[in-house]
Amino acid sequence: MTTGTHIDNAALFGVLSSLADNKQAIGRRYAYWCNGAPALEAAVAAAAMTQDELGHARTLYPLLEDFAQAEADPRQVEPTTRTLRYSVAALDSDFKGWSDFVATNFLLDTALTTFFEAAQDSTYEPLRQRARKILQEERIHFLHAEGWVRRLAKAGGAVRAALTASLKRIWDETLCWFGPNDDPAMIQLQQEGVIDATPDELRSRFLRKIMPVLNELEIDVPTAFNAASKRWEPAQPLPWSAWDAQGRRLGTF
Amino acid sequence: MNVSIPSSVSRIESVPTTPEGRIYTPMPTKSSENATDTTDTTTPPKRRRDALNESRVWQVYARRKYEEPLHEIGNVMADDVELARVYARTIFDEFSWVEMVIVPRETIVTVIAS
Repeated sequence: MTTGTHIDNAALFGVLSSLADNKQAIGRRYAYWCNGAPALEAAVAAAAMTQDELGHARTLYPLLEDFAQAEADPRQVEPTTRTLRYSVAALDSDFKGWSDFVATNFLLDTALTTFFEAAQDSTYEPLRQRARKILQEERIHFLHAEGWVRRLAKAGGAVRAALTASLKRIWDETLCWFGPNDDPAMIQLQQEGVIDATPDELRSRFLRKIMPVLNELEIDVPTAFNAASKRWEPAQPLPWSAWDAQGRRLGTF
Repeated sequence: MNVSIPSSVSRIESVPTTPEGRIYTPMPTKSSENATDTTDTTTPPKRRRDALNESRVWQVYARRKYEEPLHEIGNVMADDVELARVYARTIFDEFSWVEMVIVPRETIVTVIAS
């Protein structure tokens, strides 16, 4: 639906805002570790990934200007003037260690990638174009995440414990980001062909990416494989009582 | 990119400074006593490096044009091939290579020693 030259779609505006805010926040948190990684090579990779994430945010924010929802408060379409924060609550504070970097790379960034994969044939052309470019860069990010999860897990002892604590820290919020299965915004996007999956399907696709690695490393997470539907699913209820549907984050993180 | 880096996270392993000379701010956390916590900002660098044991060297070869042969452009250190691929891609990104390969240094057979 359009009003004049602007698109009137609160659901798409909200999800795009969340994608941009999360990419911006991930980039800022990664940046903190550009010279703090455990090895020089990892520091260079962190710097490259920082630039990629901030670049993804920079391509998404301008899309917000095209929406009727931005007319009420034009400040909200620029990362420098934006006062709303639709990034996950886990990114409100600095990473406490390298394991938080790795966990964010492995879980949250991969969850966002799952969304962009679902938008590769989007009916909303600007997102379709950006999704394909972002996915090219995210391939190397996932290799980095997978490699570091393996390394930290296999190191054992306190290193492995730090990794599992970091994974646990953002586990629920990452799974919640897709929304409950009746999430009005995501359902509308799916019905309009902006993405090709429901929240539960997106969650399942995300788990299908990460679970082989976690299973191989014997890292316990609350998931179960549903043999009937052949899908990975959360094994326990997600904390929807704390879910902020507008900001797509857990309000009481 | 405007990035603010606090002194407490300045700890790249290869910086050739003495332990006393490194920018290093201990924090009173329980993990500061643990010798294997690579994610801990307070553990001295040598112990973190020992814990990660990143010792495999990978030679990196690339070419910019199809008519050129692959030539050595450097090396990276990584325990596994996936991280080695990431490091090679991110470190040697100065050109738009048409091909890049990595080879574990230990697989190279010397025919004529230098």
